[in-house]
Amino acid sequence: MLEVDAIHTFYGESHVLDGASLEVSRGQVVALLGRNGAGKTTLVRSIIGFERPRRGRIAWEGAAIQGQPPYAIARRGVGLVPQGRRLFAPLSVAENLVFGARPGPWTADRVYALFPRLRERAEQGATTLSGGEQQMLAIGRALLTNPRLLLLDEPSEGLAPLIVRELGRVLAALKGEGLAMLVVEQNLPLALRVADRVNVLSRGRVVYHGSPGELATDEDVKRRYLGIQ
Amino acid sequence: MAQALNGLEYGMLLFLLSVGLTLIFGMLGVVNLAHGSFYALGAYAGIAVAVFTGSFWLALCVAPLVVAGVGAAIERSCLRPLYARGPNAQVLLTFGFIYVFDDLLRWLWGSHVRSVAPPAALAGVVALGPGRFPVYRIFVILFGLAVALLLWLALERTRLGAIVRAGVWDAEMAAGLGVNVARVFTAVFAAGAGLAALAGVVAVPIQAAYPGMGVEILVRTLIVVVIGGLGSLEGSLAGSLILGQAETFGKAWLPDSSMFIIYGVMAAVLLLRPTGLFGRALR
Repeated sequence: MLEVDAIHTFYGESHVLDGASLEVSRGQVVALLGRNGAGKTTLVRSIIGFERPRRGRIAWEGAAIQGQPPYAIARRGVGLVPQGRRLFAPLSVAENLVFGARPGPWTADRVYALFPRLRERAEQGATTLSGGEQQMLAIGRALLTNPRLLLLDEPSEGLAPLIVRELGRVLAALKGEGLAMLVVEQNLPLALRVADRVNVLSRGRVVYHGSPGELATDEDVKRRYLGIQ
Repeated sequence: MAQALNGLEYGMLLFLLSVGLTLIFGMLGVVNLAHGSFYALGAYAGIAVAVFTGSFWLALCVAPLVVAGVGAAIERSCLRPLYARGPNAQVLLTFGFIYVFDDLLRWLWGSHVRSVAPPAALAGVVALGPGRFPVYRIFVILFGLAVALLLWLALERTRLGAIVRAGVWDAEMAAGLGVNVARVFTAVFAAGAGLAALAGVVAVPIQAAYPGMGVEILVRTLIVVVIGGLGSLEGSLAGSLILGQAETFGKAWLPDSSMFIIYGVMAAVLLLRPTGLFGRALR
């Protein structure tokens, strides 16, 4: 469904992605791991069109999409839950939720059923929510665009352990519905629990890919690229 | 009393100008220095329509639409290619347009001061306590309030309004959710230009039109935006009303220091609230 083929993305002269490649198949959950500064967020930004790779190819259903404007990529069926959530603070919870809504199986009612707290707080400002509720709103907002692939950039960042467990259940439920996901995570247990495939990024390149089980037992990769002793 | 009403009327003109400038800055990140030129262009276009058709009301409708079209064309053809280059290129470009429009207006209409009378229905004066006050100025106050209310409803109660508010906050994220932000940018720029032109037409019966009017009002408009906070309709309204009173009373009581007073107000607001009255900290 999504193929990222040897892309090179720069910030000014700084070479952040150095030939990064990965693939997400229909209904598959792919985790993207790596240390800070490895280029994970840049890879997500390149896929959604916020950054334009200087070289390489990004294909969606076989058609090249690199260099297209973000709105066009989003409308093809790529949903974004960005790093730091990036809710629209001037908008209410309900306005945030339906902001990018497009027709499809996901409706506001279904999202409210999944996250009842959001319905209770629908008229409040989005930034009055707790961190966990904000993350759920960011996920709900992306779901309402009715994507076929969901990009999640560090969804567990800054959340309490209890909320991270809740997040894990939500991701598992979405996976159960057959939604494909690319999940950037620092939280290794969470990533290993939901992912079908695992990619490790280091210095702008995918240096490892395998199944969660293989990575869990590969002490060398975990030590070298993830800093886990 | 009359001074306060004059200040209110002047504040409403500043509001029509600054609300467009602040939304354009908030969403597009462009400090549109040509905003005052849209005001002048609106004034002259309004005079042309009023003289040609004999109807001030027609001028009030047609001139802003024409200038909005000019604004849309400038945004699409000149500004859009520069968004990736950062603010300096855009500031220089809009600065250049000040001179282009200034020359254009002198070439088309000459350097004379021009004016039209207010429409007959608004021509008289009304008794207000001990003094008397022109009906037209009361119309300007009510008109400004009506525009403020309509804009507020459009921003707070419509889908396009939600997109604009979200775009002021984080335009990239709006695009990442499937909104064609470029089209909204054009619409906001055109609406801002149209509102500036509306202010220009409304101002003509009071202040007349002269070639330097755009630059003169631009300075005040920028101060209003700074006082009110960038990207905020409420801030634009509050800043306009404050500056309207400050300048009007300044001119009446301390005519030699009225410019000093408006800068003094700006400095005081910035000391107390560095992001302006309704502004937010930059991310």
